[in-house]
Amino acid sequence: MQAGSDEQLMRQYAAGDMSAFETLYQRHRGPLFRYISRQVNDPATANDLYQGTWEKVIKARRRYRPEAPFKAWLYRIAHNHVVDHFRQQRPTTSLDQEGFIGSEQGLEATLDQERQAASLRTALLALPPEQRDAMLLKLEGGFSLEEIATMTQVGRETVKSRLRYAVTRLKQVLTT
Amino acid sequence: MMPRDRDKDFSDPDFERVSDAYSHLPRNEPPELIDQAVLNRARRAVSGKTVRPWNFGWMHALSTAAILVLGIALFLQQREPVPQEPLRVAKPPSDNLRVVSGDSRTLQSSAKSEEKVAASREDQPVADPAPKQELRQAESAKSRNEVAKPRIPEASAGLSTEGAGLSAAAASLPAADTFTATPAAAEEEAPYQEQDEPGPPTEAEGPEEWLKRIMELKTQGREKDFSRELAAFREAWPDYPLPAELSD
Repeated sequence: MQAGSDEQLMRQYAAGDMSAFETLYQRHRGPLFRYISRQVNDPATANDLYQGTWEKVIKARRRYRPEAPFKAWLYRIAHNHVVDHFRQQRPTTSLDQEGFIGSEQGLEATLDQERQAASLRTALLALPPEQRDAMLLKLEGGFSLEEIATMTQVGRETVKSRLRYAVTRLKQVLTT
Repeated sequence: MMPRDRDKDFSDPDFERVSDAYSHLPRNEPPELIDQAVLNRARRAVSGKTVRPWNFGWMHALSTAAILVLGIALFLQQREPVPQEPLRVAKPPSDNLRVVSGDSRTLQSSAKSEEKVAASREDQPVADPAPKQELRQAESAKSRNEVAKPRIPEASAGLSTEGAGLSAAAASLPAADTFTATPAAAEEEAPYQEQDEPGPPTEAEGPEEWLKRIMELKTQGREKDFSRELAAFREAWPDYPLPAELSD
């Protein structure tokens, strides 16, 4: 494993250093996989999207500019890839309705921590795609409002309102 | 442990609670197979340069060889002589009337006379018109006797009698005008004309000659050849009036 910033490692990989990529991959594989897998309801789809994201990163290695943070660049690729996937799928209203119904059923039961986590996951899937995406970038990626706005190509206030709506919905699952 | 909120602008206590609950979700990791697939792909992307030249060189050599083979094949194909079609020469009329020029419709001699003419042409230069004129006169005299023999349609009958008179006039013309190379050429082509398939008439055989030949085929009962020749005549002379015996 190599030491160094993500930007340096990516530059080294673009120059042909495979060990630099291995280090990068180990750092970001988990959060990136969770960011993608918690946006879709199918493990196989999550695997495809995850692998496709890294495929794009590998192909674009020479176009990467070190001035931009690697993590934001990586999650922007992942975000676009997931959005393209949803565009090709049927409208997500059906999925949201299923998730919402599921969360309603979860609300009636007594929730321990595990069941609360399961309900939270279901509630996440029930969120509108834009709110879910912003929430996962915040929770899993730890990005700021500015960074999320840049990645999703919307205004900062839009990101803020999306997060607020998402928190309100998820809070209902936790309080019940 | 989840990353701390770096935004002071988004200080929502409910968000902290959601974040805490989120941290208790299972920490899903990508399958090992997916990891290997991604790493292999990354490895191929940067190490492919050492492998590709071999593959590329192999394909390059194969494509070059294929182009060379195609080029040589095309070159050899271009060098092969194009088979020429056999010369189609009209059947030599045995005792038909032959027209030299379409305008005068001069009736010429028979085959024997033509042979004499051809022989004389071989011996004598073209610039010597005198003997040819004598032969022409002899030919025209013979032709006048033969005008009445064949069955010529009405339209051309007048022409034939008229042609007899014209032949005498044509005989007085310079050799260059009336005696073209066609008789000799026709004589040379004559041996090749004996074919079953009908061919286009030579320049020396006019429509009347041809019609006469067609009539002979009909009288001889050679219906197949008759139909074929008639169709060819119609194609070559679409507006020429057919005699009553031939027009169906």
